[in-house]
Amino acid sequence: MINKKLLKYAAKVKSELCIAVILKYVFFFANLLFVFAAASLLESVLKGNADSSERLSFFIAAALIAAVTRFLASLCTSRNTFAITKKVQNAIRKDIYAKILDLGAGYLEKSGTSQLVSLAIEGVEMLEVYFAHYIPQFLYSVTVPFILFAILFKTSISAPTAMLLSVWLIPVSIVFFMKRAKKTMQRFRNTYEELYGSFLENIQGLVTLKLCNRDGDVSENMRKNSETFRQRTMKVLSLQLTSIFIMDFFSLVGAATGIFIVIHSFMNGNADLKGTIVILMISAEFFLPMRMLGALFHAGMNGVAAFENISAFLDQTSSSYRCSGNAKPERIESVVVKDLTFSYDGKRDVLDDVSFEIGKGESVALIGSSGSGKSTIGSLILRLFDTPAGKILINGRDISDFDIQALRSRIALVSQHTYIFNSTIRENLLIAKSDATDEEMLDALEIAGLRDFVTSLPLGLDSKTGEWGSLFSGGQKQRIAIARAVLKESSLYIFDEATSNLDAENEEKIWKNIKEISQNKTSLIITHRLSMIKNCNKIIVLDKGHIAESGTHEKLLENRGIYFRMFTEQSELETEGVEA
Amino acid sequence: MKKSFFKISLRLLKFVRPLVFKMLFSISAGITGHAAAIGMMSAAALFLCGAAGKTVPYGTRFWGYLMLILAALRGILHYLEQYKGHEIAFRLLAKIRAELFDSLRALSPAKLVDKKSADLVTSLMSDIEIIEVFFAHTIAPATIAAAMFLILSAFFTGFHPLLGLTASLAYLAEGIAVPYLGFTLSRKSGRIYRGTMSQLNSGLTDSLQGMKELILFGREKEAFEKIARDTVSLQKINSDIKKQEGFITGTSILIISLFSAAFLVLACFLYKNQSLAETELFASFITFVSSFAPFAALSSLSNTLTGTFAAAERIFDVTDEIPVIKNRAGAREMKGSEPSLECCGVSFGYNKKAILKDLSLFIKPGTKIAITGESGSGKTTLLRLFLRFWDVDKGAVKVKGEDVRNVTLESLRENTATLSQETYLFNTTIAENIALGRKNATKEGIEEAAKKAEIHDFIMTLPEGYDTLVGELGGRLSGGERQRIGIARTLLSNSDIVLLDEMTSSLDALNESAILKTIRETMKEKTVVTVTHRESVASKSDIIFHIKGGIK
Repeated sequence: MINKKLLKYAAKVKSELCIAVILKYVFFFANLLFVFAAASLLESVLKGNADSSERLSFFIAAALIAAVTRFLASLCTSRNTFAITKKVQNAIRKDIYAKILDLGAGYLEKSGTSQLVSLAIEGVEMLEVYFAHYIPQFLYSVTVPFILFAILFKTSISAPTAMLLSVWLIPVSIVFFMKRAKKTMQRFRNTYEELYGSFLENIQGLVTLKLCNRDGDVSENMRKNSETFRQRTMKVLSLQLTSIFIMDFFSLVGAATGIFIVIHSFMNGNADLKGTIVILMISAEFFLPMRMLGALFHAGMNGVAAFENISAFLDQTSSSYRCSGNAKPERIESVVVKDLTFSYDGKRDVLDDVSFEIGKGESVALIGSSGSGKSTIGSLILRLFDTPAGKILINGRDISDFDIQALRSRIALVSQHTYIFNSTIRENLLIAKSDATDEEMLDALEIAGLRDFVTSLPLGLDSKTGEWGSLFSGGQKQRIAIARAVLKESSLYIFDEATSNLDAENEEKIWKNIKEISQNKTSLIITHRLSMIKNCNKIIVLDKGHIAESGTHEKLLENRGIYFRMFTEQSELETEGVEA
Repeated sequence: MKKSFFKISLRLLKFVRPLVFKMLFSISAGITGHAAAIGMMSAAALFLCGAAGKTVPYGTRFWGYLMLILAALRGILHYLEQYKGHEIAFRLLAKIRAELFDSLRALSPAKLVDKKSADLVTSLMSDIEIIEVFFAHTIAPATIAAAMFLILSAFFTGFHPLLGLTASLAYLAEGIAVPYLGFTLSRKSGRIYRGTMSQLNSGLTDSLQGMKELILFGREKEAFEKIARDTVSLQKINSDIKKQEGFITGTSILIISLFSAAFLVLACFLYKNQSLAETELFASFITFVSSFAPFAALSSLSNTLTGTFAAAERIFDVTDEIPVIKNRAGAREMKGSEPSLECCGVSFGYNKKAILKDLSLFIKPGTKIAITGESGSGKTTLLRLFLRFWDVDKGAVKVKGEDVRNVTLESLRENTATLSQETYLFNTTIAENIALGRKNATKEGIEEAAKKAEIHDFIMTLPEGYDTLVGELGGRLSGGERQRIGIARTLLSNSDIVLLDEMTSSLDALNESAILKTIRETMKEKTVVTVTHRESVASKSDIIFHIKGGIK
């Protein structure tokens, strides 16, 4: 299955690959022309022939043609290489992006994005090198020794045979050697990274070390470790260099043996002088291709590995959405969850037979300790995943009746981690509403409590947000999330642990904002911070995927059940020590 | 601080001085290795001349065997050259790192606490790598090429001065002119390409990392379309660069081809002129066409020189910096026993900005005090003055009754313990991280400290317990758990002065309350100074000092 896919991409660049190999042969034949012309001239010199001036002119012409041909071939090769790189990059990225869209947000929720990033950038780069350099060189190296043999066998059979055998001994011996050395090399492979990592962290933690007065010890350790590391590294290095030695040995000794044989044949009158000179001059050509392939060996391995990763990703089956209807809701008026059972991995049920309702304009809180399944409900209402068991009804209709995009455009999510894109504040808000005017954005920022901050910046809305939104503090990032939610013109708000990463001060302020914007709007507030949700219309307590209790704050306190316990615990912790 | 190229080169070479013999060994192996590869072909040529009936010194057979021997020798010499070369590179890397670390040690903690320090660290790390490349892959090839140039030019001149001249010109063209051409061509476009490339990659990364957000807002298709447009622009630039590279490669090959042809033509004329014998013609030509390897290796070097010098300069800036805060002559160990802290008329500023003005305060032993104020008011700076990050401009800072300038820095820090916003954990075991608090810590001491810090139970839930590597836990340690490890460290050190710098700022409300509770319970007899901007934290101390504009 893997080979088929690799061929699929190779097919896209098959003409460029052919051109690449042909260009290598152009180099080869240009070189051959030069060698034959030179050999012819040299023969006449060694034999003391009279027609050497003719051969000289021929040589000059041939040399010039060969030189210009090779120059032009270089130019063509680089353009061709670029064409291959470009096509491969475009083809693979296109497939990756399509797959991301196919798999949807649910996949990203589960698996995170770091793997994607490394596939789409590094993996693709490795494949570019693989197709643009390794494959053409491979095809060329495998064929050219035979071509050479065919050209040379008229002069001598034994010499080219010897060289041909040597050429093949190179990959055979390297593979054999690598197999034996693999274990040792794997053990020490990470030495270099370890050393780098520990050096970096010693610098980054230097303030801590100084204040604990341990920096001297660390410096000592670094020097000691350095020596141990050096020995390890040199061991690995000597193994790697041995494979280079093998290559050098077989190439040069192979060439020398071939030359020795043919000159002997010449001495015995079995080879002509010109042919012998040709073999002498061309011996390098037997080996150079395989040596270059050796240099590209790593590129070859990396390419195959990268390809396996990309294949695995592309082969994933999407969490096939039950077919979606086309209905586009105007507003979301009610949400009914009925007998909902859900599991991420098919083994453990995260939600078990959950039923509740969110009526129009109601504020419903969903609480529970981590692992109780509360965030999952938010994901399911956003249809990040489908549920095999149970129903979700939006405005009385099954959720699958609706067009997914249209459904999501009516729901605003403020979650625990808000991603701020590395562009401007404006761009970060436009994703919520692509035609938002500056006024609308500033109004939203006002409601989110961020307007003064933004207007105080020299570039205002056009200020750069930096990598990972470094312009903003944690609290401010959540305010951007709220501003986005406000801009979005949605009728259902979902707040999913919106303040879990914030400190006490920020938390209180953000909660005020949340209450303001969710007034008279249908909202689902998922949290474990009980002091903030006292005034919700309904509080639902989840415990290990079941609904344990539900009701208003007062009623639940009266119950003296889970809610009562959690609530008293949290308020004790908050007020403790203030009296002391 | 623009040091001259010359001075920087000298300093870089000084680094190599202790390793000069190894370096010479590697270079010699390189020279003889190349000589063996070239000599092998010369021997082959003479062997053939002998076989063709010409007179060759030492007889025909000799050259045949010499050819085989040199072929085998080349592999060994190449191995030795590379082995020694890498060994040198590794040792130099270790040396530079050690020196840099020691310089930073002496300059810390002051140098590493301002905003720019993270950038400084990042750039120093890559600067070291750049310097290593210089030592490992630049000096030797350049020296070898220079040596081969001299040897080969002399060799060919021995046959005839014109041949020597032709060879020299060829080598100069191949080894200097072509790389220089490549350097000038790529300088501008290379920069633009790298800039655009990193922009595109970070844009792509950004979109992928925020993909869930984009999908939920329905903007994913737009994002991909933008990426496609950016990719097209990048590919245009890449195409230009590849064309340039092809041109340079082509030129390099052209030079070799033309000079090879010219050499043979010249040799033929000299032969016709009776200035050169047939064997000399044959041998010199074969040698010449086999001799370009050492010079072709130089083509990639040119691009890195400016970068190397810039990197070296940055590193030297750090290692040349003279630490201002160090133990004064006659500094003693701290001997006071009452854990009091005092400021007497302290004024302090840096970067020409006054931060504290004539501040005086006295903290009695065992007090719990909070220092509050807006950011920029100087509260953290005050804490750092107690730790002697800097010396005051006016007045005196006293810890345990002694002026901090009169005691050794080491004893000052042994007598104090600090906790800040995030506890830095090293990628070793939890036990070792806690053990940083005290030299020669014992297992029992570590466990006791962890129990008091209320982190022992958590550690016992881990499969390897105290021997768990922090790095493997990755992000699974919560903020609260990290701070508790910090508290364990502090408790282990048993200092009776504890300085807390915004210690709960990155914790949520519940965690904050729990941590503050632990601190209150475990540090009853110690003098605790808490710097904070939060009411909720300050209210838990006995006394509050409020700083505004550098004054109490």
